[in-house]
Amino acid sequence: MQALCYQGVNRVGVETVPDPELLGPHDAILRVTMSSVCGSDLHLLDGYVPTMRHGDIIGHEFIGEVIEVATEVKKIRPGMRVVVDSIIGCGHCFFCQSEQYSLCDNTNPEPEFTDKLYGYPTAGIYGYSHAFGGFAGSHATYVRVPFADTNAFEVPEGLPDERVLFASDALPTGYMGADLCNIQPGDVVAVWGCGGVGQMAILSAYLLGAERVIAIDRFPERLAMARDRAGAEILDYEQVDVREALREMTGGRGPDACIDCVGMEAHGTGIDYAYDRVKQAVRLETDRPTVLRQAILACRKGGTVSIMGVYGGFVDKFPMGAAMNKGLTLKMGQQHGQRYIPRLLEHIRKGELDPSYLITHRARLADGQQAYDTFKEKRDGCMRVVFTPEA
Amino acid sequence: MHSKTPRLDDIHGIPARARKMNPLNVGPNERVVSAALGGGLVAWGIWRRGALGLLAGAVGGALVHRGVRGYCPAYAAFGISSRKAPKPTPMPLLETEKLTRIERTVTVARPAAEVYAFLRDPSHVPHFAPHVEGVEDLGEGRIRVWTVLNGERSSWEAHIDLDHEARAIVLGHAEGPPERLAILLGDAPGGRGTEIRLVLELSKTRGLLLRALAAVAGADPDAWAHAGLRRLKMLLEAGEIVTAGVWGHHPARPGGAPDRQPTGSPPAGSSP
Repeated sequence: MQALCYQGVNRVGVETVPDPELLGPHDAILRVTMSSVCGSDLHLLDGYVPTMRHGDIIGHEFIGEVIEVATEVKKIRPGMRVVVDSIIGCGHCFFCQSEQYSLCDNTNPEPEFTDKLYGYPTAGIYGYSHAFGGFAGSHATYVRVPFADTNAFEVPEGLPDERVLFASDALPTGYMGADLCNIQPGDVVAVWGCGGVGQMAILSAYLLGAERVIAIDRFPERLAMARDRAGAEILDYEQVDVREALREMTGGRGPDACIDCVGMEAHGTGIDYAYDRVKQAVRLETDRPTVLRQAILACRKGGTVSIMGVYGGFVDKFPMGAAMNKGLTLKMGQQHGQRYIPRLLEHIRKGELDPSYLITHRARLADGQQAYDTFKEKRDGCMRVVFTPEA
Repeated sequence: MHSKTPRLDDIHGIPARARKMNPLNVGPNERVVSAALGGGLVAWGIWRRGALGLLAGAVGGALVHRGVRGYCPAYAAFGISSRKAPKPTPMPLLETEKLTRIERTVTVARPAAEVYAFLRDPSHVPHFAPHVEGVEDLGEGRIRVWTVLNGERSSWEAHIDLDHEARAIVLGHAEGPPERLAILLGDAPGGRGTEIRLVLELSKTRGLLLRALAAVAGADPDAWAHAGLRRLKMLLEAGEIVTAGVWGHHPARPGGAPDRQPTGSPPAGSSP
């Protein structure tokens, strides 16, 4: 089959690789009908996540048709259209049983790296480096889905792929970001980053009862999308002092909840951003916490900071004093999509959510390099490029 | 129906790693006396000067150190303690003298009775134990274990002791060195399943040899124990040993014996 593979820092290319096979009794094989690029792919391609190897198939946000299932798969049947969570849960360990699927004990076959780096290994993720299991990604004709009954969800009839695709990753990530904020009536939520996850966090915050959502970014087209499609008030951090603006917009209180949808490769305008760039370039810190610092300082006393943007290693000048003395609640994690996907599909079916506006570009796998370049440099108003592998 | 399994540490003592981290063996009163006496000796040594003063200073310093740290190497050597705190129970099943001990513990979200039933069947061992190719039941509590290491096939005979009460499984060489492998079970708190501790006791020489080998050839028994328990957990909880498979350019997974899937149906959890 054809697959888009990692070929070195910021280099991808289509290669012919063997078709996936059923390896475990709970596996399914999918023909991929749509697979999206994701901001977290850029961390892999930029070389910030170690343990990527030449030939690794990338991609983790996908939808497809089941073509084969193994003996122990009970709910998922061949011919079903399914959306699959990007993070793999076994469904049986303590964490899966308590609906914290991204902490699954059993789905990372290469746990040594994260065991050492994080203290305990976390779940496997499709196409997301060998630290996260070394699973083949979804930018391919076919993909193998372990524990299909836990991780694949049937798409309700009549819903096109475009509307359901992002229930694989961006939507549950944004939704969890808002869910962790424990939003109360009257709450003002600030969202940093208006990429796919940020857009979904804005929509989700409204769904969960936020009074107002303020979105922060610097790209005019993304801010416009946040305003026009998701209904957020917007701030361009290159034009205004974000902390001062947020304070004034919230009657001097500060946002009740702040959601970081940016993560380790944040940009900024201040001296701290220059400092982080230098430290990251000489490998003295792995992640740039520009947004995280801002969110902690901007958040109201006793508020919640929810971290959904991906961090990989170590950050510097973390404002612990502000977090502690303001009594903040910090919540974070890779998404536990299996907890949210059924209710998200219901929202989509009822027309309360439509993430399809994130798709600004479509591409063939063969145009993968160009697609990722466009996405990375946000050329041509690019929000998300979606591959249709059979095309 | 089995009775409730006691906690792992109550029956088998606290793990070696924890013992090493918390080696207090001098009681609080004795620590004060030791430190005061030591301080006095040091002061006297400074006042006295000369060889005798130096000696007093050294002894005093050691006493101060003993008092401040709460640890006495002499006590440790004789295995005594003046501390009233619960003394670690030595593992009753295994000898501790002149052996290298490797311990690893994992929690499996399945009931102890089920885990014990799975483990006491030797034919399940090759499904999760690294490098074990097969186990032959010779009857009367004896088994022959076939292992493959770096392409070399070998076998050894072992006797199994099953302690149904404590749910412990102990494997020892039928002949040869008094080395043992024990699997000890206990209830995890709050209905979280079963704590499984694997204890490997190797002769000091073999322990050193394997550790040296570990550095060059990856034959690290501690890594085996860790990997074996992980695979056991996957098998018991998820019903399979998860693999990313072989694909793309990767010729084989590093350090990898090929993944085996059990043919029988292990006691996996029911679907949520």
